[in-house]
Amino acid sequence: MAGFTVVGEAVQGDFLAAVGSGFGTDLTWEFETAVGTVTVVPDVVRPHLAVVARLPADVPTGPHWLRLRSAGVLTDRIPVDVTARPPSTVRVLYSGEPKPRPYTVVFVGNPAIQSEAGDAFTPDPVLTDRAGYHAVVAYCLRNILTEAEDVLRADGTDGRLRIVSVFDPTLGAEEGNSLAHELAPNLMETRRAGLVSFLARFGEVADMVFVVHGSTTHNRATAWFTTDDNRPDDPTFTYDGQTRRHGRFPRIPGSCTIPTSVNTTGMTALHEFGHAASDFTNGMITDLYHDVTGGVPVNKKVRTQAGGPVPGTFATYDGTVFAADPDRDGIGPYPPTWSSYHPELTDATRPNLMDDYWQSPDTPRNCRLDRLTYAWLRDRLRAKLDR
Amino acid sequence: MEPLHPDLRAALRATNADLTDAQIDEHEELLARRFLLDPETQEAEIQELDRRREELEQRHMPTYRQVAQRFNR
Repeated sequence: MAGFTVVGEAVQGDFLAAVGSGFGTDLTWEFETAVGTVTVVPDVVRPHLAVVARLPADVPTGPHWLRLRSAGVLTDRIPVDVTARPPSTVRVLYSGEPKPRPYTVVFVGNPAIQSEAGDAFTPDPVLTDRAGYHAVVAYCLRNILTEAEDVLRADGTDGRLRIVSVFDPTLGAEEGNSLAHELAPNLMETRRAGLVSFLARFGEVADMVFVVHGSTTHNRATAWFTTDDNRPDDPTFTYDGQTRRHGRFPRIPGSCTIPTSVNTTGMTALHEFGHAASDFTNGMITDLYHDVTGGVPVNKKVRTQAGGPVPGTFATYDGTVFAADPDRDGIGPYPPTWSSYHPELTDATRPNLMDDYWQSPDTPRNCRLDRLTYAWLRDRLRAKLDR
Repeated sequence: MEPLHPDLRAALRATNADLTDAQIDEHEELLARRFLLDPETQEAEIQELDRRREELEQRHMPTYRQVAQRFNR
């Protein structure tokens, strides 16, 4: 663990991120003041990044020395001035790769909720629940970056991602500020058409948007696929002999809703990311817990008859043959009424991350993607990261 | 879409006496079809699926909202 830097100002009640290398999961932050040391445990730790969701008021305002400790090793100390000013509206948690358009994940505190009927906009309770918002952002980061599924962290991928929070409690309950729509009986969907213009007001361009909301009546999470801005020079791939593209830029970013009441024992954040990071025309990563098919799925196919034999091969992706999952491993056989089937699992002892992860025999947090979806999504992310 | 939690499914069955797993699955499948459609170009189809789903709710699971909210608490 060499040196480190702190991203942005240190503000009580706001996010605070430290950037460096070799951070261990036991990392702690030690703020030295004139009267003693305050130890803070970060909420998310990766080897290059540690995020405190809300800098506690236990760390008094004023000048401090900050050191990080991991595996008994202390870093050199750096000066940090802690203030009690209002938390930032736009907070960069990690700047990502130093380039004009790094792959960007944005978390937004949703300002207004559109009613089921679409005729009314009400203030989103999340805007008066800073603590709840910060806790959900921390949950999402842990969920997408630190659980068993490593699709976003393998080979240091997450070290190339830009991660930003946008939370503006001054915004009114009006259509232009509404990023979430109630869907009966208990779901929330993003108002994806407004995402680009909303984020542009804050100078942000996103590939993926997590819309965090505070509804307690419509809190089942949903996602919308990305709409790629397809360009002739986007990298191509073949899927069962058909040529498609991994779009490098989005026209409409992928998006999902996450409630402040999200069940943090589940894999909802990464599951919804899986949908949202895929695309309407080049390939959809779909839910596997039902028999519905449609669109351009990457991870689901249909047998000639319900309950019929599952083919040995699922698909040929870019010249590599991927096997099928013969038994819907981790959950049990495919229901006899189903025609659909899935690609071979990475971990055959647990449900696919895109299937019903609540059925995991131990914890949903150990669920993985199947081999094909993993390879396809890694390539798609790489196309965007390399742009 | 987040998978339906098995405890919520059980609560729906417990509070709607004639409700079957097949009807819950049909509701889930209508939702799933909706989220495979592109809202930019297929809004009418989305609205039709929502209408069919609402009918199914009213007929077989009229207490879905209340059960879901109790489940959340």
